[in-house]
Amino acid sequence: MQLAINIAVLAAIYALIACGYVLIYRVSRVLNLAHGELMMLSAYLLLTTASLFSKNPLIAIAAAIFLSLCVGVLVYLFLMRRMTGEMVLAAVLTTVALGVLLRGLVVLVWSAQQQNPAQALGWVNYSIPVFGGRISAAGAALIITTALVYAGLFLFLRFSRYGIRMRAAGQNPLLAAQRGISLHAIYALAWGLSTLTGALAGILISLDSGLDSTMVLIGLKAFPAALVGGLDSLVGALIGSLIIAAAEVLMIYYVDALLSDVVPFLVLILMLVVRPWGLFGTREELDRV
Amino acid sequence: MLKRSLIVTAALVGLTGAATAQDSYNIGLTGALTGPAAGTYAPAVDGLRIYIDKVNAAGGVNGKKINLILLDDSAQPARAAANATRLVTDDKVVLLLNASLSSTYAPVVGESQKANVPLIFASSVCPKDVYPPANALQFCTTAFAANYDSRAVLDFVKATAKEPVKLGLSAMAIPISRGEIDYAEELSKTLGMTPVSKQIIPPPTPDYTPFATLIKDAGANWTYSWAPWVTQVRTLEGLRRLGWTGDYVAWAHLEAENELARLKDGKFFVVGANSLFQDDLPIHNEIAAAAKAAKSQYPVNQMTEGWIAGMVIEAALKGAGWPANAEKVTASLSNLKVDLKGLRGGELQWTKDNHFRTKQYYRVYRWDEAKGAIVRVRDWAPFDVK
Amino acid sequence: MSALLRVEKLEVVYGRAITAIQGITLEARKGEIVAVLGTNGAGKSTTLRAISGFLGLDDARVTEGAIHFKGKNLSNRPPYLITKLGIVLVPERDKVFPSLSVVENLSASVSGTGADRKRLEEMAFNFFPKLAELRGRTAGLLSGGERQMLALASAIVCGPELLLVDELSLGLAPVVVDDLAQRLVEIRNTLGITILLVEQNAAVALSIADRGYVLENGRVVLDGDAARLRNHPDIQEFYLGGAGERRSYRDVKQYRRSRRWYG
Repeated sequence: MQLAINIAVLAAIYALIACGYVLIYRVSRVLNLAHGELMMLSAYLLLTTASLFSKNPLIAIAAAIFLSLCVGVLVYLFLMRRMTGEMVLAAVLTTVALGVLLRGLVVLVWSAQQQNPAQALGWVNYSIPVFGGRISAAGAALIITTALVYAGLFLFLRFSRYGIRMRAAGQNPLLAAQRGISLHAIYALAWGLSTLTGALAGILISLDSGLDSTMVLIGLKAFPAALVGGLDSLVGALIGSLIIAAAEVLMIYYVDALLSDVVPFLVLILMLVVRPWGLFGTREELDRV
Repeated sequence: MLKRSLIVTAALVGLTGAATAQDSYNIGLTGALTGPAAGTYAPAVDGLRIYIDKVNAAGGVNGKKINLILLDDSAQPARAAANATRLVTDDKVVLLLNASLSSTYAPVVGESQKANVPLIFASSVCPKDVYPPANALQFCTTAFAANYDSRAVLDFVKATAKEPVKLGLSAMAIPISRGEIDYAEELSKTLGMTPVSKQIIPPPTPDYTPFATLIKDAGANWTYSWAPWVTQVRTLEGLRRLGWTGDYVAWAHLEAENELARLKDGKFFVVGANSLFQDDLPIHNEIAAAAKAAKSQYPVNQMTEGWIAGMVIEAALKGAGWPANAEKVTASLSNLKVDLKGLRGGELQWTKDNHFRTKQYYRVYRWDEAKGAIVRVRDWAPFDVK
Repeated sequence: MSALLRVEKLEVVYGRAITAIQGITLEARKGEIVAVLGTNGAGKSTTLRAISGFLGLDDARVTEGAIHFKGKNLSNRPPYLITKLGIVLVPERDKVFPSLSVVENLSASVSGTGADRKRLEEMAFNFFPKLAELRGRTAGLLSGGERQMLALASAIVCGPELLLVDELSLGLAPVVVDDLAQRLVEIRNTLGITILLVEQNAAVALSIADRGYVLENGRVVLDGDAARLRNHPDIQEFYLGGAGERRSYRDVKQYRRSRRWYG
């Protein structure tokens, strides 16, 4: 049972991060390689808001999430917006540069030391018994949040006007513009949502297991999950995360922990050979990657 | 912010270094002051800086000021190499210091050998060359020491455990940590313990629970981790999250004191060679006051390593006299006794053959829930270094 | 009445060298259906792309002349702002979002809020009752005719004053084309909007247009009332496939046409 719980928590982590990659890729075909850094930034923002609102942990978290959302929109408005119309590669390289910048900034402002937002909030990460296994409170929150985020995104993309417009813009930006859809607004929205979900991931991971600059690497490990599922599919990201998490945990259990580190990328390579557009991805989009 | 000003100061000091070369001791450090690895080194370096400033304010050594040049290498070998070359050729330092990842050692050692300038590893892991028989130019003040640490830890476990020990082991997947845990695994067998599970954990692991599950399911009643703090503490948190109630012992890194207070776990022992601020010695108050006056951004209880390096440097330069050159400093370092005023279990002694220390002392601490404070579980236990 | 749209001496260059259209002047007044005729490569689509602001995507640009809409110069406006001004294009290809359902296609496009949106969607379904039946269907599964309906419906819910239609008839059966053409007239009559219809099929275009322009090699070679054009001998011969022995092979027509118009 513990095995299943461990897989579920890890899958939730990957899925929550992966949907950020998917959201931006889906509407703008840009791989946001700074996603891990943005996620880390959110967790560090929580450290700051936690000291500002030390009496109100929930307000601190809400403030951190709101700030992250703003960061995402600002990144689009002041950086990525100038990249529209340029080659996708240029935009991807811009996100790489942004990532390097954010990494440096985070260390400058918050130092490279191990931090504990949970402590800053005065929270204890209780251990909860479930189904004959155990899960940490933050781990449970991760699973619940991931479920809510995916359900929310599904409803948003399915039924809300801007959700439908996001899908439309992702499919045919030209036609979307012809129909009066402001691509800039849609892209800014996608960036906002992406950093928002990334912020949730970063904050919850840091509440579960502390925070330092290696969080970026976790963001990177979630990338194969998004890719395996097919970069433009949320369902794919969810399933992909499950596959990667299961492979990783099973590898730790039954083979060799050292392999667990590379297993996401092994699965990815396997996938690229067999079905390069991912489990649920759109095949025709492949040439644009 | 503060760190930035530290770097700016370092740059300025570097610029003025040449001008003051005639009437001060020039010493230079390359360290991971920024970048992801900085958390382990920057606080110690700041401690060293504050100590040297204090010495200078009190008139310096042999009536001469110490000009400490701090250069950032972000734990990158190429930058460390450039820093070392600059320190040796432009700044003509009489002593090099390294406070960075072991990947930066080779270029810095190369520069030190070429120019015959002694090199001290301070807060970075001690290389083999400082143990007997030591390389003539390499020295190390850093508290932790491969093999000796595990000996001390398992010695403590053996003395403390009431039942037969089934030992879980946790390492980070980096050579130094793996090597030490492999060593501990073998050693534990000779001490009558049963190593039941050894986890080598890759550094960017989002969730340590799977590893903890394996240790717990293997039936460990003690777990030992010798790794960077992240791995040590996340393994413990993973285990506790699973409801594991065994005893956990780990190395007392810089972070230990704050972390013991954060975790409040009565069965979490840290073994270390530096006394914690909890001991409240006069020297601790002295460090705290100096750090406060210098407005350091780092927790004062993470500065001990830098302070010790500072005490050693001061003593070495005193022994080298004035005017000093690299040769005199090396000679002084090779025959040195420094009273560390309780920061360690005894004085630090270097001989011609032994540039680590002749005796390594270990203390064990844990959190005491009843007292609401960190308590000493075992006082200084000496181990001869031969 | 003054022109709603006025294209003046427009010159468009692709890349650095290829001049696609050279000095086209045309206008459309409020409530008119204006046909723009011509063969492949005559510059019809380029003209449309220039008006709707999409030239930049093809590495093309306006080198001369201007486009005025309601007295405003349209140059250098991004496409979605041009749409906001009231010019909506129904493109030749990729005219619907294939993975979205019919009703989602409409709601992605519809402007306004709340009740307004509802009203516009209702209106679209009134013009195209067939779409109401297919509202849940994925657009990618629609037939060519249904797609064109959906494209027109999506365009009119954007609230255009000027509707640009690129090749209404392309790849569709004549009976479907006739039906769609009648819908265009109906839309114009009901909403009072202006329609610029770019067509290869001159018969259909001139049957519903008020006026027309004939483009050849990037120039306007003929223009005037639809009735006049319908009866013009050259149009008869080249576009309407006049009678008797004049139904020659396409390249022969091309040759003759060039001879006559370029001397």
